[in-house]
Amino acid sequence: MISDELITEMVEQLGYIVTAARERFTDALETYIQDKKEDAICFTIDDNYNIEQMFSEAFNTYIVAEAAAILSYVIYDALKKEEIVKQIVPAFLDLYEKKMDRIPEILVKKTSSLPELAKSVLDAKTNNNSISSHLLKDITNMSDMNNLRVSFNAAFLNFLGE
Amino acid sequence: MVTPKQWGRAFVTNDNALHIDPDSKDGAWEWWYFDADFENGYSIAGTYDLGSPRPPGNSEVRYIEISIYDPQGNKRLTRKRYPKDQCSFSSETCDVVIGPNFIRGEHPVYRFCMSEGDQGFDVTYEGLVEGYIQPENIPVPDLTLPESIFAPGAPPQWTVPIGRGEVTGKLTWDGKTMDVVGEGYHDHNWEDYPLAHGMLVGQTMWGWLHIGEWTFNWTGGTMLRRNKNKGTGRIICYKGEKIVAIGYKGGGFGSNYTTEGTGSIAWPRTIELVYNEPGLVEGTINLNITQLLEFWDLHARFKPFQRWYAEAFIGRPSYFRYRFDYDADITVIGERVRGKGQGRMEHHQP
Repeated sequence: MISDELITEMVEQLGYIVTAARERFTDALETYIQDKKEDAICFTIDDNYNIEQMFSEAFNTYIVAEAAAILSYVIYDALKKEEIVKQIVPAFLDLYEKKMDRIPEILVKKTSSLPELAKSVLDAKTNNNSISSHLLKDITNMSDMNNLRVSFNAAFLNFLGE
Repeated sequence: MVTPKQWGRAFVTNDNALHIDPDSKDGAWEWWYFDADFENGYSIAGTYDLGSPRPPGNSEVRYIEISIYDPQGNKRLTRKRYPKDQCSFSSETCDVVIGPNFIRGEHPVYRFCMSEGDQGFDVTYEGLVEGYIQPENIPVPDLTLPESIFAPGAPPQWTVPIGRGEVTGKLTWDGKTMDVVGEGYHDHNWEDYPLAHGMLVGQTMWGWLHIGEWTFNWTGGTMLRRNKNKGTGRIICYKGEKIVAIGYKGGGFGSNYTTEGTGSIAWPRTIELVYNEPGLVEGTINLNITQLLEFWDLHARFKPFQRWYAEAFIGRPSYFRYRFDYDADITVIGERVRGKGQGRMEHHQP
């Protein structure tokens, strides 16, 4: 059963993350151009590459994991298949992160507080449901930080009301 | 009978009655705000609330949140919830009951009563200016919304039953009751969603000030970045008891930000309000904030991952109340109005 109300809400959430991403991208571009300190803006081939990197960083930091969480939440709500959240999408995100040229510093900064946050929620011993418990433990048990998976878990926990 | 007039229509008693569905599940809220400064240096400010405006939505609660200040600025804040069966709200007239506390009246006279332990008051507001009801066809700013993600129902509805009123009655501070006389303000807001849900407007400030026979109720702020940070504002100009002009082209711009008193959320020490409708209302009002009266972190009730997500993608919405000194230079339909004094305002930022 697909909830129209939930889909509407999740589309709104997608708007938020796209807005955040494009604003960060524009900020980065503005700083880059200011740092060039040239009156006339002419992009070299290196500039083009650097700006493309900024776009990738904004996309990878603010959209990939969160859009995956939004879509997964809608699908999970309709199908109630936990493996979507626990296995399929996390595996996809782990592989995608491995293929990234480099991990953006801003992505690392964005996720840095999450293990401690997850630990504090687990320590509070509230009655988390099966998915919440899994996502929280997944964050705290990660030996190497999988930034996209952690972001996905955190966004999904937000949608679950944690 | 509702009569049309130049600036909207005449205010009638049920404009100050209940508007929302009290059984709403979407986080609708409605509050009756008031403040008053008394000649003996005491003052009062607060709200009678149906539903909490703080997210996440909770339309089930009924409470008061009222502060009394002594002349030295000491505060007695009463925030108290009452069960639904001890509260009632009329949709026909202004009859708001929250436990032993109530507002009752027929426009333009309202009685505000609060009685909580050693603190309380029983004061009557009598309007010195006509009431303001927001017209249905107010000019809408020229918005650019590539991804239009604000919700219906935002921003809040706003009416001003008493833009300036004489306030008389009794005030009780720490068990000591005294007669009081002063001036006050009463407005009324409601919305179908919690504050900050809409994300249409960025900085939003609203307040009032008096200069001689003139009264100004104003809003000012800037739209969100996705709306190009455009200035937005409204100023309702009363001369004597009549509204003589309403300007819709304005903006409010904060500066000298500080986090004092809030932990980590910045608020402006100075604010410039600018109105620019030549021939109607134009000029500036400079505000110097002298006291942070109230502060709410609107995400304070969120759970840990909700806070993380909101701060990463939405912002850190907050609500403030201030006292300010003003320096105003406004020209209303060719008549220049200049003055300095003190006032009180609210500020909501994303």
